[in-house]
Amino acid sequence: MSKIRVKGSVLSMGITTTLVAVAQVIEFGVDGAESETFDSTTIDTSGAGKEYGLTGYSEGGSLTFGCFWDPVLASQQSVTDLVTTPATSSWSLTFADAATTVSTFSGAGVGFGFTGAMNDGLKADVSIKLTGLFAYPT
Amino acid sequence: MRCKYLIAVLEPRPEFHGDERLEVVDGHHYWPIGTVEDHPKAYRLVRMGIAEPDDDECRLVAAVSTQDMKAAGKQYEMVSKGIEPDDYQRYLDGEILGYDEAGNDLPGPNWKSKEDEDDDE
Repeated sequence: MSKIRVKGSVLSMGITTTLVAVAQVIEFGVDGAESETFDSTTIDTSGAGKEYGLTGYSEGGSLTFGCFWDPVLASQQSVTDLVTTPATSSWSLTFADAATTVSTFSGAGVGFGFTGAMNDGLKADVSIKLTGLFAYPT
Repeated sequence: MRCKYLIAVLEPRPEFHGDERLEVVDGHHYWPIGTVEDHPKAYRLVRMGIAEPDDDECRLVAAVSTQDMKAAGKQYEMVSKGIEPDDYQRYLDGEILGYDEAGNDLPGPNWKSKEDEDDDE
């Protein structure tokens, strides 16, 4: 049991057929993953509590990350390539634990935006819609 | 267009682990230095300093000097090892190799702790 630091983590994406590190990442996260359910409540369900069953599918959710944006940086250009030329993408996240655990996932769609402010550097926010599931270590 | 890897590139996806070209180091699979890849975006790896051109098409599209390629490669090496930007110079000077699981410096051949540096000043 340990508390894993974020320092030393690496987010990588498939630029060609291999995965290479994305530079200047500030933060990252995965959210929206859930096992899908359906309302299985019936008129003769006993008690007031609604019931839910499992469909057998799970939503992969999205991976989001923020970075300092450099429009001529090759690894970051590969992210905007996914906007201009939609394609599925391959990704991995390497954690900074003792075993340098690596989890992989595939992206279907991408969301991208950038902001410039007088008192900050040029930054971008990226969201990757997962197709399938994040490869959670087991 | 083709490029040839200048560094070993991690391959975490299990579906590729049966490829005989992969090398296994500490349980992780890597495409070794010298691996040739034929891909329409091979020039991107050249611009990042991960690979060098392996044909004229890649060389022309990448349009990057050897010097810039080497500089980009050093930069990529630090990014792929998760080195913090504040520590880039210490890494380049050989003071640190990276971080351990607790985030502490892994000493390099020219190790100097931040405390030592403070004492020097």
